[in-house]
Amino acid sequence: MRNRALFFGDIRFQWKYGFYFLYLVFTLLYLMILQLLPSAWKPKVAMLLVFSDPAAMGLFFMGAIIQLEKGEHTLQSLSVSPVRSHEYVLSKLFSLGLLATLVALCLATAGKLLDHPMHFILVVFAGSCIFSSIGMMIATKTETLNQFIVATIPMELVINLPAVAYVLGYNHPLMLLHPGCCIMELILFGERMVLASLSLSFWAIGLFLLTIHVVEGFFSTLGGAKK
Amino acid sequence: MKALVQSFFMVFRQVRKDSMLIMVCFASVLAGLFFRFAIPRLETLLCTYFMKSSILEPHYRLFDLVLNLLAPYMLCFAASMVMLDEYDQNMTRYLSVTPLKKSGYIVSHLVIPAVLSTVVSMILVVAFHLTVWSFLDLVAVSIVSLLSAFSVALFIFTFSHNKLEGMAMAKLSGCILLGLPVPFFVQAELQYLFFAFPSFWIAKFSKEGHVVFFLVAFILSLAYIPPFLHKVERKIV
Repeated sequence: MRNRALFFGDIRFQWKYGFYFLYLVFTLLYLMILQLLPSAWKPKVAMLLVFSDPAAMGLFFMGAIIQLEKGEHTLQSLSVSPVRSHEYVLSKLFSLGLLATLVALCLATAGKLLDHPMHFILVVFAGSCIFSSIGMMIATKTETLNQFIVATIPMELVINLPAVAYVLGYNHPLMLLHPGCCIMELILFGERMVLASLSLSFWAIGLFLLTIHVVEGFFSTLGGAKK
Repeated sequence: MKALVQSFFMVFRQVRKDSMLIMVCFASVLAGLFFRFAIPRLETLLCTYFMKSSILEPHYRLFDLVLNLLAPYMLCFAASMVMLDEYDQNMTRYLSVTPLKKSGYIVSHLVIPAVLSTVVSMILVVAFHLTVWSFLDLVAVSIVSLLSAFSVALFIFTFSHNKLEGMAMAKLSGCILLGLPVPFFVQAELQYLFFAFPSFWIAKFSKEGHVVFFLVAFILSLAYIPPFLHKVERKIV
């Protein structure tokens, strides 16, 4: 019940602050770009677009979301309510993951990437959770939005550059220790499915658990300590 | 004048405190170094691998254009975030009734940072250029970059009530860069779909050299400013 209320609360929040409108505009824009490209480029460009934008939405917006919630004293209220840290984290991850997956599905359809829809949805959703978890951890450790933006840049480079290198052909098996490369392997190539799936699951679950731990610590500084 | 300088240094201190200033300078220089030294090596590697005479070289001008727009865009974005922060704390209203006035507030918070960052971006292009630039071309392109970055900052402040909306608007305004690659990659007859983007015209001017394209870019980027400026002025008070 609480999970559902938090989840729908987050969706309403994202709707109110224009996330859905923004991504509608971006989806149309990306679809237009994909239409202008030669057919041979479409799948790879579509994948890079999915990976760098909708999937990475959490890393971009989480700082602003947490700052706003802090400013409006939402977090202080939540920290002394029965809401648990893992419920708060889950709700953020799932609500942003839902929007990311919807946008990614549109782009994948235009980019001819949607041979296995369920498989695609799971991979994009896991990727979105990874980005959002990292964004949430950084957001709880920074004081201002500008500090958050500065702190996310190295993370974006660390996540994006190996993934781009993987798409461009540098695909040594050890690269699959990197979550971005796993996403590319699972959606674009599919030759080392087991290794990539295991690695991606490890990253998604590991970062989720770490985020809960960090958020628990963060909530305790706001006036409530809950396990 | 004194109020203007003090107000500008207030923005400067705020941006410096958040490490945003260091990031803007560092990112611009890093991009310059990358474009100047890594891109030509990458070109050599790609040409050897794909056995072609050139792959990236025809688009070197595009890298220079991105470098030119980067610093003004990032610094104006940071300045608009400072303005949103002050708006959130109701400081803009107080500042606009001090000797600074509304116009002084906008000049100190947006115009001075935009002009300074444009000078920086011109220095960066001179230091890290991949293609040959005449002085006049560089000034012309930099003026349009300045106006575009300025209108982006106005756009972000106009349509945002808080920093979260500011981030969303900043993401949307990133579209101003979208026109840059069009003359390099899109077929001639489809290019004009991007006619509303000043960045498209400036890239076209930079690639083909016709003064008409510069004039369109200049007029278009100037045309975006008055409606946003009017809204910003109304929002401040």
